Amino acid sequence: MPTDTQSSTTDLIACHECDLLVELPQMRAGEKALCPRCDYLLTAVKPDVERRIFAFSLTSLLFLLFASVFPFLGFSAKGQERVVSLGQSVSILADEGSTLLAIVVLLSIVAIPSLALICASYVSASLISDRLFPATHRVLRFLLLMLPWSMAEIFLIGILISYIKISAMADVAFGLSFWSYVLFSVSMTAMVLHIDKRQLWTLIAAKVDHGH
Amino acid sequence: MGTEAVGHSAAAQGLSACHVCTAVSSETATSCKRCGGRIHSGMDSSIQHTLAWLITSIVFYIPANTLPIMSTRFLGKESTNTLMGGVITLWEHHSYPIAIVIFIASVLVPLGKIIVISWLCATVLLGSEKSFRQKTILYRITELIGRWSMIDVFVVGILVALIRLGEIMSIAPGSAALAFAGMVVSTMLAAMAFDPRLIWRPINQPISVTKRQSV
Ligand SMILES: [Zn+2]
Ligand SMILES: [Zn+2]
Repeated sequence: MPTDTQSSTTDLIACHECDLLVELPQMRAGEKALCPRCDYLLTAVKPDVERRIFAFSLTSLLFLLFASVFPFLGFSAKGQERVVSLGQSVSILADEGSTLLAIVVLLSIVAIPSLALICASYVSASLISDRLFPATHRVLRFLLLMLPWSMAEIFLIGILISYIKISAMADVAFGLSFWSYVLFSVSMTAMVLHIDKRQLWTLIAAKVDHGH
Repeated sequence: MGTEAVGHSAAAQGLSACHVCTAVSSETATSCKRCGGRIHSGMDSSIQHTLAWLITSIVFYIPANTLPIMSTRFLGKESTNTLMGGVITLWEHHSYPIAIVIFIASVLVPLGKIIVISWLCATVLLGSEKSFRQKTILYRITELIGRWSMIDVFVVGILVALIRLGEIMSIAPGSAALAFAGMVVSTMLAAMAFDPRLIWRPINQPISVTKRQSV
């Protein structure tokens, strides 16, 4: 049994995909480390990470808020015209007999992304402040759990495909909410690109040690 | 590339990496020092969980492809479309790019994902000792593109919400849409349950700790 696990936890990393134990060198912001055996991205150190995550999360949340109040998409054909908001389109889906489907859509395009953004702002604010907020560990764990299920960017591609499908028979108009949703998705992606598990947990651990 | 040190498998040295925060701890530890999460190497139950989610996804795959994905009411007449039927209709209307995108995202990717993960499970169970790297990359691609299959669920949702012209035309979601969403979710869970470190287990032989070399 190894006796030096205490000291080795600081700069050792085991590849998530092939379990190779690697000693990380001193890394500066902007550098990344790949597994020498399978090329898995072990860690990517981002500059000014807590401030950037905080800024992108708040921006993203704000755009999502805008996206839910204005008209989202408009549709006109055969002299009839209709405009739907993001919320309306989900509730129409429920009214048409597929409540479960409406819930799946609502979760993946609004609920989970906004939950993830709130968690990300909490964790980053906690890292910026002098002392860690309560339950920062739990919130970050929850955030990492949520991320794969946030599907805003996939929804946007879905809209693009629907647009091409319909455009032959009707006019589709993109409302203010749609553009707001696009900006929300872009800044959320920017936030997600700044999340590096090892870096965030190391920052939190450093803060915990500092507090004692 | 920032890495310089090349070692051996962590598990072979009685070490285990935390899934949540990547910290390395002794395998005998019960909770992670860095993030407080529970530590479990979990490799043995990984295959069981993966197979359970694979079977679930196959169960969803059949109705997702055979039942109607949406039904269109046009001037009082109702017609239904299956997923593949929809792709064929698009193709016949010369909408080749969307037909191809939907075919890839909704038919090829889910099927490919089920086949790749089953094959990976099989090679692990048979103790295959070759092309570790290729299999790992295949797994990585599978995990990365799986969620994009959700596109068609969103397309159905948008069409249903937008195309409502009273008596003239309206679209309702079919039962395949929900089955399809269930299939995408369960293939994602299957990919997450699969532990790619199992691929490397045949060459991750235990070594004695005193011989561990970290350059
Ligand atoms: Zn590796
Ligand atoms: Zn941990």
